[in-house]
Amino acid sequence: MSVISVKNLKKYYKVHQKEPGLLGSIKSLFNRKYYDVKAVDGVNFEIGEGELVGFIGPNGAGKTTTLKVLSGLLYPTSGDVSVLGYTPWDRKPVFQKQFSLVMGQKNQLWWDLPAIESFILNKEIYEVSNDKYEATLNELVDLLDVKEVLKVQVRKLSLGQRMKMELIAALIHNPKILFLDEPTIGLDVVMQKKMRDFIKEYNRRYNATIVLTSHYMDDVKELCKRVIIIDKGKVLFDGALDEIIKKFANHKLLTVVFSKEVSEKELKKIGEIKEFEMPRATISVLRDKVSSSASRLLESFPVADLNIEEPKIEDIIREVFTGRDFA
Amino acid sequence: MIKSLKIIFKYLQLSWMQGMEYRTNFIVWTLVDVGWTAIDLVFFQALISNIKMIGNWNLAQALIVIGTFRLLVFPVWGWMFASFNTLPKQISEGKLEMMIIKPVDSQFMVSVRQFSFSVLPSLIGGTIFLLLGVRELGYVPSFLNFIFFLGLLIVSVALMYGIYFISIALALFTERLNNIAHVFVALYDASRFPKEIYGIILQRILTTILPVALFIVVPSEVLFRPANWMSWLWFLILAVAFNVLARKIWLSGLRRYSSASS
Amino acid sequence: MVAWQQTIAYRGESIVWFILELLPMIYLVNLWMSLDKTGKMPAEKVGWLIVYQFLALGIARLTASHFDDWVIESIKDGSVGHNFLKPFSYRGFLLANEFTWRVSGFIYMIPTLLLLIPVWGLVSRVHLEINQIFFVLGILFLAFFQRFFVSYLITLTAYWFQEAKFMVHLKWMLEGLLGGAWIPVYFYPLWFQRVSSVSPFYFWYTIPINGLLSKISWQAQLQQLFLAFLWVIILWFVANKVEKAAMSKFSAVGG
Repeated sequence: MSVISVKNLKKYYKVHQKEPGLLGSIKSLFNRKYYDVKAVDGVNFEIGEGELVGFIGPNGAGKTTTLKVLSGLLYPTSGDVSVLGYTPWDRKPVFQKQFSLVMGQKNQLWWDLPAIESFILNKEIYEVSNDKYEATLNELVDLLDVKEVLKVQVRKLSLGQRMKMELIAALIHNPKILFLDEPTIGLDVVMQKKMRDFIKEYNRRYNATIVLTSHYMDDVKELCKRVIIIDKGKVLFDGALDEIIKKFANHKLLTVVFSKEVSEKELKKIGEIKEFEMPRATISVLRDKVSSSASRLLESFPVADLNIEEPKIEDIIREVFTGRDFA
Repeated sequence: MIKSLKIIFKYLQLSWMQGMEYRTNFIVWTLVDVGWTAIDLVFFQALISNIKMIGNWNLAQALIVIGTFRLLVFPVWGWMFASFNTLPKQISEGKLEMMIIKPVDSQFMVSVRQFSFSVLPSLIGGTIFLLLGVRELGYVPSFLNFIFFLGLLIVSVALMYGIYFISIALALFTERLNNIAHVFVALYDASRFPKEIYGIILQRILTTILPVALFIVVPSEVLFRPANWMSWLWFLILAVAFNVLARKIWLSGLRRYSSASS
Repeated sequence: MVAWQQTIAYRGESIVWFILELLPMIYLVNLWMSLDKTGKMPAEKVGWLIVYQFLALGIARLTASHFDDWVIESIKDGSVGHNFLKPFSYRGFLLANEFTWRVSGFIYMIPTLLLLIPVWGLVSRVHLEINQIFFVLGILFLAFFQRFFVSYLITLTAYWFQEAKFMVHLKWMLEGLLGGAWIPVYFYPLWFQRVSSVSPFYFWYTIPINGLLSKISWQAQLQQLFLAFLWVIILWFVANKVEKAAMSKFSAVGG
């Protein structure tokens, strides 16, 4: 059964343009020109309970706007949205107590006080009982390994520690749905891994539905079996991660090591050369021509080693975003 | 109701703790408040000694008015300014979101999230000025007068809250209005003067659509003028009306913010 | 140019600045006018006080420095550091910035000047010593620099004290009381007026306004110009010393 249902969601808003220079500023004071931005333009998807879905797209694709509509922060221009059976923008407290929104670049902790003070505040706001609060806090603190810094002022914590505290503050009421907007942004690789492990574990332990947006492909690859790709306000893909390769990548990569010097010009007859630095080369060939290309390579060139690989998901997605034609 | 009280209490606690984290800062700002409190007295003493009357107030009456003004600095600066001051900037930077998604009324959340205790000297200074004024009066107002005075102080706070909140809520309708929090405090400064110094049209405006001339004066005059039930009733009606209007504007602004943002 | 564009870009904020400029003038002008209506003060004196108020506003527009607040913030959060990498002095940049704002800030006075209309009868009777205008301009020119250096010194204290912003309040208090920004200094007791006369704040409002509203002998004009200039030198000298110490501290402890 789906806990999140989005049907033909559209969100348009107006921005104004200003001519450059002081004269442009003065003109704009009296007469402003507006144009429409289609942030979300007919998005459809359903997410079931306990799913961990990656929501990816380039900057300005409409990811954050969609998350904001799902959390009730924004009213859509049109479309139907249901989260746990509620219309999010009605902002009913009973609904708000069941989800949480974490935005990597926005914080809710009191800067000058230890994070635990903010947790207690959230406990009152979400009306969490004392027992539940203690149990949840202890669990989260253990999972995120922050016991020693619980009573340290937030401003004295590292970015990674602060992010962990933000997560605890967001989860103190044990929400059924978690919207994570770029939760690993700005973190070092070690901390990113820890955050991913935590998110995975939280999803497993509480069967929480998690929708995650991220620019880091490692977040998506490690956490999300299902991915929704959005660009220019439209869904380009919604399915399993490995299906992206089948849908968007009609090429495969031949990575070859040569035993002798070869001509790059000759190699171009096999396929598109991605990299060429003797003795290695990487050649992109059409998926249905892999066998024949590999055979020709072995016949015509002094090959010491040959590997046939799928293109990297991040390369595929990058090329999807740049609008490269795969047909 | 209990939940709201618990949340207010928690915010009070957090604000106090935050203040105590930077003790020197707290002490310094407390001294600044002492400075402004003293300046009020010096300024009005200088005025009265040169012009003898401010409107139709003599020294005793002016002292009572300044005392009331200083007392109300506590809710105006210690509560309202502290909570509202950064709100317009948060609205323009999209940080209001973290408050809107909470299962608590958003107007309540933005209204009680910060308090400042460094204006405590104003409470003390205000009380001293009031006592000085009462002494200058030559008679002591009755106990009932003091009860009405306290009651009207509460109504005054409610009225000021309504007007202040309306001004802040306007930030939801514009791209950026970071300086709006200063408008009300400028109006508050103006409220120390009697309506009699203004012309008829301005008097009407300052006692109705922008009742600046009533904030301080109505509670103060309880202590040195005969009871004026009509003006007290009008005062109460204005407080209710402005709060109802504030609520409507806030909800309308939130709808616009939620429709126009990205 | 960028600062002006930024001001114009946010129409709501510009309107608010107009209102903030207007409000204190409304109650002060009405306070003086009420003295005339009730006969508590002769009309000439009321007119004089109203003119005083408008001149004080104009002087504030022309000479006041307001950068202390945001510069203190930039020192506290370390973002001031990138200014020291630029091929020009930060102090010079602030001075140029303030100068531009003084010119553009006059636009905020326009609605307030409309308040002159209802009081024109009182105001038109006040005689302005136009022949002393060069003296007044000279004093204002020096007052601009005095105010700039005082504000600059306040910002420099932020390199040592977290609570440097309180000094901005102290400046406002002293400017209001000793400078005569709110009401003329002669409203205060004699001893207070003497204290005011030996402070730099005296040159910010009292001297230039007196220069337009009363006759001053050329000897007194020269003396006051000299004293104003002396204050500029003293403040400039102190600012140099403190700036050097501040830069050492900044470089030693980092951003």
